[in-house]
Parts: sequence; structure tokens; C-alpha cells
Amino acid sequence: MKQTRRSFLRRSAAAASGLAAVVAALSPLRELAEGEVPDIEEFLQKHYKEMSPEEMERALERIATKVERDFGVRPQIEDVRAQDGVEFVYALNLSRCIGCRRCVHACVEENNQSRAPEVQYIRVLEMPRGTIDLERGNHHYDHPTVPDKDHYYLPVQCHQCANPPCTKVCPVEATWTESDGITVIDYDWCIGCRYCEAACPYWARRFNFTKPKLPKEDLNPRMSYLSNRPRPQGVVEKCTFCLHRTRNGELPACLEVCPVGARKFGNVLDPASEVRQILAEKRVFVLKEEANTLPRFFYYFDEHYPRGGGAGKSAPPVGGETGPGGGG
Amino acid sequence: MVAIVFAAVAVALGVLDGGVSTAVPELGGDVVVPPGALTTDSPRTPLLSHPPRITLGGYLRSCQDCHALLDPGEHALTARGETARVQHGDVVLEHGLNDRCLVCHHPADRDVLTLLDGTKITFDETPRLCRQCHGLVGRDWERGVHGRTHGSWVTGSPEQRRLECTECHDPHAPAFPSYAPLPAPDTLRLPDKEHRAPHATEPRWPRSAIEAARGDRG
Amino acid sequence: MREYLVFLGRCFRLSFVGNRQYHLWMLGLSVVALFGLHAYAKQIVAGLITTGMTDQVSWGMYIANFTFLVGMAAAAVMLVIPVYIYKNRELHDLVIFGELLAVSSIIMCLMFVTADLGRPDRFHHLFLRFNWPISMLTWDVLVLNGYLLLNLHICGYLIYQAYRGRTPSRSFYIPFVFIAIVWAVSIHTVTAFLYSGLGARPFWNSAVIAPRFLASAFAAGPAFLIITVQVIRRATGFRIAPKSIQTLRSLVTVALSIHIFLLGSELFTEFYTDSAHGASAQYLYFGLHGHWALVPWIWTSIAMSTTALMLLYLPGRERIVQLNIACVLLFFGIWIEKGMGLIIPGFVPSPLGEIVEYTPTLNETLVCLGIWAAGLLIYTVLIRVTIPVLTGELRADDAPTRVPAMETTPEPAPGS
Repeated sequence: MKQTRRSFLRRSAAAASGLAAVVAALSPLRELAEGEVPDIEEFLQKHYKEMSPEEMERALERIATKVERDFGVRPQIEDVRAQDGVEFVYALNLSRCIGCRRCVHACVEENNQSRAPEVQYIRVLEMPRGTIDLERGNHHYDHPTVPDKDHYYLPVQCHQCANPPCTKVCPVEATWTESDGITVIDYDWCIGCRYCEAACPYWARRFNFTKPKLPKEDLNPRMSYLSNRPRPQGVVEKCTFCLHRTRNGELPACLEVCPVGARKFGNVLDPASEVRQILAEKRVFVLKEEANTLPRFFYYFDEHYPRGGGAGKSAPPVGGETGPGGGG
Repeated sequence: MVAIVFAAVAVALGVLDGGVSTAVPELGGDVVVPPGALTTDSPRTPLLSHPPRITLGGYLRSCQDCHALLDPGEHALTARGETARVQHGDVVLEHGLNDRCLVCHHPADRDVLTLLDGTKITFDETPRLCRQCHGLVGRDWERGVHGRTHGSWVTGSPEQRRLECTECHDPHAPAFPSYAPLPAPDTLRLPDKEHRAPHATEPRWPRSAIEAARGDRG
Repeated sequence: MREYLVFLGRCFRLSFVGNRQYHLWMLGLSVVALFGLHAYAKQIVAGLITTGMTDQVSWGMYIANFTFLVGMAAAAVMLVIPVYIYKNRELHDLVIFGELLAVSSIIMCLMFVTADLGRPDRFHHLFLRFNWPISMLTWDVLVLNGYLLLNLHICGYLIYQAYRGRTPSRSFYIPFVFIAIVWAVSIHTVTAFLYSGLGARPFWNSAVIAPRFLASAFAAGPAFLIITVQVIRRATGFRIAPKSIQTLRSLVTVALSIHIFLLGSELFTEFYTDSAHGASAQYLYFGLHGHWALVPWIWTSIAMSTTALMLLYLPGRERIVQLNIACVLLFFGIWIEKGMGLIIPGFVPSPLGEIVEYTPTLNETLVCLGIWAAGLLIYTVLIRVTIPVLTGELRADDAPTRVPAMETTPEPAPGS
């Protein structure tokens, strides 16, 4: 009997301490803030495309309440849909871009992006003359003034491709292309596998490695479900061509802030639009055309090298070639 | 023995461990954007009115109030950069080959501007003037391909506002000033500052005369 | 049904019974698994910031280990083909260990994938909107879980039938075995297609990825089994015919030879062409623009694999010491190469040419070690339960006779 009792006690002690060890292992979970554990309604929320208008209303209400709780401001959040007869296209004039990065930061402010860790949808590359090899681009230039006369500047953001590799690979269909061409993400559906981030040839997608840090005073309270409402931890996000603005007829924040008018945006289905004129007459190109992504973001030139100082003062390059863009 | 080991593990994990914060790296501070950097206003102060007015000695004057009294000929040949002027010394004329004030300003009536054939135009018709020389840019501007558009992408929308030539370009020195760039990206776990940019002196492939001639500085 | 629950209960109790070595081994693994669980709990709260991953290198050790372990799981088929198609009797003993390895490996794969998810609480979304057949990840979900169920069925059925002293009915397992053969090739091919289908990542966008995956898996898996069966033999006295180990050695040699040939083929294509397509390869093997963190790793891996290959060809390869050294070398060599040699360089440079290197954090490493420990725990328990059934020691009370389950298995071992 003693043997049995001793072995019983020994086994119970082992089991109890084993259980205690498991509980201790799980102890960090007590630091989960209440707002971060999804409630039952959020857990059962349907995919964006399957939500009825009432369910969307409730979802918007839930998001608005959460924003009010976290930021002290009641946001104005809507689910703005694509208009018929609209397909958005963006064009960027590389002759004009001076690399001032105002587009980057205007986007950050408009779209409620995390400040720490830093999330920026737009990345401006400082490219040396004579090459379009992106590996030669400098993302971290820091001159006292721009533009630097030996470089041109190439801002890159989501190109809202017509043949996007990112939407192909998402296992849960959390990202898709809408009828006006914008590739969107349902932040409440994304499982955070980051396959889309690996698939994008333009490094356009960002992942929230932790809860985004957004100071209260920097909140932009004008939001929409698919674009700039504050994103949760563990989901992917990216440029949406400011659809909460552009679907209401306005221009994206990056374009509004550009001091030199390098950015052009509009409806490519409208023959009178600026972007249509550019596509028809300027020498446009896209990045990584061989990837066959069919981007809706075009780059164009309208001017010779060099730039800076008075116009047309330097001699043309060796060989007498007129350089890219030849005139205009 | 098993119980002791598990108890030790429980203590180590539950008590000694510093919690979640020990696993989270320094996220870095917020990037500082200078105030006023993200404005959408036109980059230069537009003219006060069409035609311009100035307050002198308590009275609102037009340009002709003075210039009607002056002999126009003396100012016709002012070269670029030189100031033979008694007034308007703050105007620096750096407009490329255009180094003559009277190319744009009407010699006999300073309240208007002039086209090359002598036609008078008002100060709010500046695009007509600029396009005489900058025809290709002017054509682009007309279609929205050059210059800044604000408010709306919808063609013909009342919200859509196109900035005119002189709202961006100082007509006397139209080249854009340089800007101070806003801060570079500072994402997670970047290499230290010296190693962030590609090593600009190392092109991937051997240099050749072609690259040298192209002005390729790496 | 009730009998089955009794069986499971007996298995559960049996997994706590063993000699001192066994207890030390299980205790050690449990402690490591607990630390891993703790680290994962921290990750649940703080997010994937606890890892070394970034937007530039958005997959790291978790996916690296996942990729390697899918290969290990697929390698079980290397035993099934000779036994069931070529009627090779020598490997018959080892089939069950291979299948149990497959089960443990797949469970580890699922754990690694779950650890890598930003929102594991949204796992159920996979069942509600499933982007099959377009997304290769959906194929992976299907084939991995299917393979797990296949192997659980095959092993479970055979072992339970042996426990009950009944002859297994061929129609209940032979068709599944043949399905598993094809399925094993598919799991690793699908995983390879996850990478090779991405045009954005030129380092991965190569047809040779899928064959290399299979070749390296079919080398590393049996190598692991060679070591494992010797451990089992020593720990339990369960007799494994030496000929079966030598047959495994032949399989490993062929697979490793193909693997090294494919590696050479990839190196030639990247470096002879010398285009921007080879930037990631240059980063991996020689460093790129002053960043060379992976260079020592990959050359160590190549040294290990080529040394292993030489040891497998040189005279004396049948000697167990030389064979064991080769197996250990090639196991780690292939592990490095599938992880650091495949996943990370795919992200360097980024599609915009930026170079950000990756180093796993302590927390991330603890989670990885914890999952490996959990997998080894599962594998150990499975073997701990299987061997007594095979030798006849663990039998249902109503089993007709106490004969060994499998025809070629020798007498029961003492003291197990």
C-alpha cells in the first residue's frame, strides 16, 4: 500500500507541476488587452463580399465604436463602393518628380498608417542616371536639398495591377480587384499569412507586425471600410488609391500634396481625362513589364537631362542623342 | 524529479520572465515632418489682384500711376540679373534667354501685359503669354498633363481646380527652387545608417566606356 | 468503439512508462516545448514583431522549418514504394516508423504554419472562403491535411488491428498506401510550387525548385530514419535487420546525388548567365553590396552535403560509423539549405532592390525549438506505443493469440 500511495503521490505531484508549468507557459496571454481579443460578432463577421447592408452597418458601427474608444474621436466611416464606368489609372511624370517625399508623408497622414513600426505605402527611389535597374536605387537618400542633379526619382506604390499576382495567391480571398481597378483588402478577413507580400513584384504590401501605433492627434477621422480605417495587428495593408476620396470624385492625398504636379490621376475610360491624354501621347512605361502584371500605374518623361538651374544650358549627351522623352 | 523540474520551469516562466515586453524590440520614434511641409497650397504667393495694386503712402496705387510719369525707353534694355532699377530691385530676372522686361510688360501701360505682337492682355491671362514661347508645355498644361490639378479627377467638375502658370512658377525666375526632402524611411531592423544605401560605387557589371559617356556615376 | 477508447487509454498510460533514459528524454523535450509555448504566447500578444521578420524579409525560420518538414514527411514514401511496389521485404520493418515520422512531421508543419500566421484566430476563414484552385496555399492546405489523415489511417489501422490480434484487411489499407505514395510526392511538389510560381521572386521562379525539393527530402528523410532506427534498436532492443539500413543508405545515396546535381545545375544557370536574375544567388553565395550574413551558412551546408556524398560513395560506406556521420552531415546540410539557402535569399534583395538581412530573434528560435521538441515528443510517443504492439506485448485482452503482428519481425525484446 505504501508503494502505491507513494507512486500515486509522485505521479500527482508530477501532473500538478506539469499543469502549473503549462499555465506558466501561457501566462503572457494575460497581457492581451480586452480590445484585442475579437468578440463573437467580430469572430463571426462575414467576408466583405458576403455582408448584407445591415451587416455592413453593424461592422461600421463596431469599427467606429472601437476608434472612438481608442482615439477619443468619433470617425466618419462609410463603405464607399466603386462607380460604374470608372477605371482608375495613375501616371507619374519622372521629369518632374524631385524626390521631396511629400507624397510619402501625406499618404501616411491620410491613411492612418502606423508610425511605429513605420508603415509607408510609397517608397521613393533615387536612381542614378542611365539606368532603370532598381537595385541601383537608393531608398535612403538624405541630401540637404533635392533634386540632386545626377539622379532622377522614382516613387513606387501599389500599382493596382490588372493581372495582380497578389490576389492569385491569397488562400482566403481576403484581397481582390474591384470593378474600378483598385485592389483592396478586407482587413477583417486577412489571416496574415503574407503570401501576397511575397508575391508582389513591386514591394507594395505592408504587414502589421504589431499593433499599429497611431497618435490620437494624427487620426484622420474620415475613413472607409476598405481603405484607411485603423488596421488591426497581424493583417496586410497597402495603397488603395485613397478610395475613400477618389470614389467620391476627389484626388488621392499623394497627388494633392505634390508641389511640382508630377502626379496625374483619373478615369482612363474618360477620353477627356488627363491620364488618357498621357497614355495616348507621352512615352509611358511600366515597371517590370515582363512580369505581365499590367499595372495601372505609368511612368513618363517629358524632358531632357540635365535638370536643375536654368533650362537647356548643358550640352546634349555624347552621340547627340536627345535623351528620353525628346521634347515637350 | 519530474515534479521538481516542472515546478522549476513553472517558476522560471511565470515569475522570472519579464513578460511580453522582453520579446518586443525598440520600435523607434515617430518621424518628424516639418510643420507646413504637407500643404496643398500653390508654392508661391499669387499676385494680389489683376491688375496688381500696391499701397504707397496710404493710397492704393496701380502700376500706371507711377509708370505713366516715367520714360519707358530707359528700362527697355535691362539685362538679366543687372539692376538698373530704382524700384523693383527685388525682382531678379532669370528667365533663360528671356532677359528683357518689356518682352512681357507692355512698354506703355504697366497695368497690362503684352503679347509679342503688341496685343495687350490682362494679368489674369498669363497662360496666353507664357505659351507663346512655351508652346509644347502650354499644350500639355491645357490638357492637364503639365502642372497641378486639385480637387477632383472628374473632368469638368466644379471642384476641379487647375493652377495657372504663375501659381507655380515665378514669372521672373520660373525654375523651381530646391526642396528639402522629408525624412527617409526607417522601417524595422534596417542596417545601420552607413549600410542602408546600395554601395553607389559598385555597379554590378564591369564598367565600360558606354557607362562613362552616359554620365553614370554609379 | 469502446475497445478503441480503451486502447487509446492504454497508449496514453504507456507513454509515461519507460526507463530512466526515456524519462530524461521526454522531460527534456517537454521543458523545451514549454519554453516554446511561452515564447509563442508572447508572440500572440505582441504579434510577429517578436520575430526577426520585416516587410522586406516577410518569411523566416517558421516557413523555413515548415518547408524542410514537408520534405521529411514526403520521405516516408521512400520506404513505402520499395516495400509495396517492389516487394522489398527488408524495409518492411521500417515502413511503420517512416509513416509515423510522416505523421509527426506533418503535425510539426501545421504547427509551424500556425505559428507564422498573423491572425491564427481567423483560421476558420480557410473553411469559409477557399481560393482553390488558384492559390497554391490552398492546395498545400488540402494535400498536407489529406496526407496526415492518410497516414493516420494507415498507421492507426495497422497498429490497432495488430493490437486486436486481427489480420488487417488488405482493402482497408493497401489502396491508401498506394494513394499515399502519389500523395507524398504531391505534398512536396505543391510546397515547391508555392515558391516557384512567384514571378516576383526570381530566385524561386525556377523549374528546378520542385525536383530539388523532392531530391533533398528523399535524402534527408531516410537519413533521419537511419539514425532513428539505430536509436530505437538501442533503446528498445527492437531488432532491425542491418540489410534494411543498407537499403536505406542506397536510397539516400541516389537522392543526394540527384540533389547535388540539381544544385550544380542551379549554380551554373545563375552564375554563368550573370544577369540581375542572379542577385539573390550572389547574395547567398558571395554576399551583395557588403551584406554577407548567409555566406558562411551556405558554404557550410555545401561542405556538409558534399562530404556526406563522398562518405556515401567511398569504401567503408557500409560501416555504420561512416554512414552515421554522412547522415548527420547531410541532414543538417539540407536543413540549412532549405531554410537559409532557399527562403531568405528569395527576399534579398527586395523587389525594389533594397537589402535588409534577416536574423531570427531569441523568441522566434524558442518557438521553433519548442515545435521541434513537440514533434519529437509526438514521434517518441508513437514509437513507444507501436513497438509493444508490433512485438506482441501490447495486446487487447480479447486478442486471440500473442503472436507478433508483422511477419518478419523477430522475437520480442527484453525490458521494453
